[in-house]
Amino acid sequence: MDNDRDSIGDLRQKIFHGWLHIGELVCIWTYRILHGWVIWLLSALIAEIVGLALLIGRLFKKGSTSSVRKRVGALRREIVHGWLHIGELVCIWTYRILHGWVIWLTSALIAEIVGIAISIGRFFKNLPFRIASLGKKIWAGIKDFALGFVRGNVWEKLSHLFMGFGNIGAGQYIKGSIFFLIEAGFIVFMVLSGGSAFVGFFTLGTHVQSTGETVDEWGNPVVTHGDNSLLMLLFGVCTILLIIAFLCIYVSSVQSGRKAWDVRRAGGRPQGFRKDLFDLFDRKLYKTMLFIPIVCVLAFTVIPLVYMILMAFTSYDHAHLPPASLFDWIGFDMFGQVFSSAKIAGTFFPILGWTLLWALLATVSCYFGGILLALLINKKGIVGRPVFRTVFVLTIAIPQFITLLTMNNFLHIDGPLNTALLDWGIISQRIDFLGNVAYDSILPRMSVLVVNLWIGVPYTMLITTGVLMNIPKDLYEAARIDGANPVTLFARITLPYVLFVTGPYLIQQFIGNINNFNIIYLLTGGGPAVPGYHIAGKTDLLITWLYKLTIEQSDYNLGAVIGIYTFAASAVFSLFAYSRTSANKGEGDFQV
Amino acid sequence: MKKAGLKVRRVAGNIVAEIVLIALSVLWLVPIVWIVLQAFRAEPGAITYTFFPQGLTFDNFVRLFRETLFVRWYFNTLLVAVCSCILSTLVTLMVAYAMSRFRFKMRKPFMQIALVLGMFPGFMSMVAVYYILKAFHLDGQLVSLILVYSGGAGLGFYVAKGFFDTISSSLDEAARLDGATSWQVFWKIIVPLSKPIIVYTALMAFISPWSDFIFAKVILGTNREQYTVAIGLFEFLDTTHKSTYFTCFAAGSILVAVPVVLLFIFLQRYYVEGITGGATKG
Repeated sequence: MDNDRDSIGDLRQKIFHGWLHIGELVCIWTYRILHGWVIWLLSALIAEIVGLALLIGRLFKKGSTSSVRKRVGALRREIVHGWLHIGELVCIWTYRILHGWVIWLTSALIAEIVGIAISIGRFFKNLPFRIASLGKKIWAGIKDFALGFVRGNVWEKLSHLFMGFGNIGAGQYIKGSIFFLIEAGFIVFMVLSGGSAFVGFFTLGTHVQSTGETVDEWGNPVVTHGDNSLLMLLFGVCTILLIIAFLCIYVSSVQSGRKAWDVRRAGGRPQGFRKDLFDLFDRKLYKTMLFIPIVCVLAFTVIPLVYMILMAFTSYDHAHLPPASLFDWIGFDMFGQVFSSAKIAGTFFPILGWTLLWALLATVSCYFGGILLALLINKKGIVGRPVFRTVFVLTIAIPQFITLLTMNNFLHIDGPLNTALLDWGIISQRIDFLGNVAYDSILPRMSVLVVNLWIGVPYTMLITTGVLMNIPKDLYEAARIDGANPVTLFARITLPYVLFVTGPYLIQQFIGNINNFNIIYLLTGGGPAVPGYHIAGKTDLLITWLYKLTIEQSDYNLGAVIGIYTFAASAVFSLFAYSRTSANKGEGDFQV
Repeated sequence: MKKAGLKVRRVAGNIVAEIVLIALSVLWLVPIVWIVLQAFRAEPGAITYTFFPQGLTFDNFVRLFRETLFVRWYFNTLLVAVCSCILSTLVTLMVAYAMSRFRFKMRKPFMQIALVLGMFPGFMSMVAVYYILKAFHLDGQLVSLILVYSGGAGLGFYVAKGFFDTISSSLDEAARLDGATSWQVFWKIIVPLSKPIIVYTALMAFISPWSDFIFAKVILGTNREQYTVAIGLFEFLDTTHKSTYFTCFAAGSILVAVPVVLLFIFLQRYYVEGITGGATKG
């Protein structure tokens, strides 16, 4: 089995290296093509200028100034139109090439999925053994517990019923009393409210609020308050958590009592309360330090998450809104509906596709843009480096909601960018950067990506600057002596080195982009809305769609299902990527 | 001869690089300059058909202070930022120290759970947080905002833990031989040695309330008195207010951005060190 694992690991590494090579090729070709383009553009520009000069010369040779102005205007318009056509072509071709990429990516994805399937298969092959060993452990625990009860003295036996009696009998009065008080408190709580909350978790309410036909003696309708399913679910979750916590304390109290008695039987004295307290600040300081954070995490992360996940199994939507009406458990219905209902599936899959495409493009473009900018700024002999740095850092430092809202107005159809472009005669009519639906809404999507570049490139620049400084100079020297050109230097030294150091950051960025709520919500609001989508627009990510479904539409169960799927997507990806980077780290290529 | 050619090439390359950099800087500055100009614009309304304002004025700032709750919002945000900065720095450091220096049964599971919890989309739980706070009658209060911001800090301990791992444990042992408890080791040895990571954590915690928008909006609801600047300014831009308050939005944005920007520019070294986990130290 180990052999298997080794060979699969080997295979994976090879595949990974293959990917790296493909990436390298892509980089080199992009560079070459861009190079070609620059030359082409320059020559085109020169040709344009010469042509323009010729035309102007001819114009002045001829007639009066007014007709000259008119002709110059016509000329300019024509040139602009030519450029617009080129721009359109570029757009279309980008779209087509990206399409090809999608196919390529899909095939790569399928390969990955097969790999995952193999590892899942292995997991299930090992599962019986794991379950067996877990079962053995649990059995051993129960046996130990029962034996403790049978073999223990009266106090220890009592401690199974009255928590803390073991400690009290052994002389740890304060500790024992605290345990006992906890038990008493728990029982009081269960009797007073916990019990009904626990039952309520399963029923989710039985009495519907009636805004009744019955009227009281003054003719006002009588409102009898029914059950609030929402609160019942919440209190139920809290109660279950409390019960689990109590069980843990119960087991540890019994064990603590037995330990105290073991010390006494060995002829010693159990530790006093004062020493216990002291330990909490020394040997067991971690318990003290973790207590408050864990309570906070439970209250503000775990309970809400469990709560939301449970909502996915209920009928809590706009038709079942507490307190006016009840909702109930419906099982896995919603999970299936995302695939089966044409309305929801027709929105879910396109949005999922766009979310992944967006995350990929946004991450990669910002990353490479940032590295190039960092290289440019740190080029030897650049004047005014601090000034440039400050300019770019400015965009990071300004709170994002300000930059995004500013950009939203800046790109608005009546905004300054359109005004300026019109004034300069570059465009003849206003462009709706954020709302044009032509070509599958490519313009708004590109705009979002460009704005993201504007925000994201300085981040990467700032982070990679330090990394670039640390690349050992002798690596470059050696490569240059061997006749490497700048492209090779970049592809073979700079890029691998930076990737190695900032790998985890890249993964974080990707996850962050999948969940990049702010940029979409504040910039386009998810729009442009299209008829085929269910409460969503062309730039909506899963996360903004989730927001619209819950906050605006009150379809909480559907929102929760979407959230779970989003989580699954990002968790699978990042666990995979993390294992890759850590495997990569093991090689230690760059441990200088 | 060859050397001179190389030099010419390098100078030419540098000139090209400078030009590109200047062009990029202009691109990056244009929207910022525009919003600054809008703050001083004399003409009213949301939309003007000129890039540069026709007249300059300080009226927008005056209106911001007189007609709106901006000052109130500003101090709300400052309060939340300061409190959550202190609390979440404490929480983060304590969790990181416990994870770095102690070995206990639940350590590995806790770290893995923290990693997985971090992958859930943050505001999937937001609605639930709102109902929990509501059950305790804390909705619409700044206190709950502070609690929520610093409550999540217990999960963001990875960077600080990585930093603590690099502090040699022989220092701890030496102190312990002199009779110090773990509590004292933490305060007297670890904390003084971790200035960069403390500054990073505090900086992040201080800045996020200024720009967080969605959590604050859901939790504070319609309680306008308690708004933070982010939601307050966003309100200026909704369809009913936009034409009256757009220039005030610009003015308010500047008042919010200036302190945050200054703080960030002075402390950016720590930010970089924090993000790369000290990898840049080499």
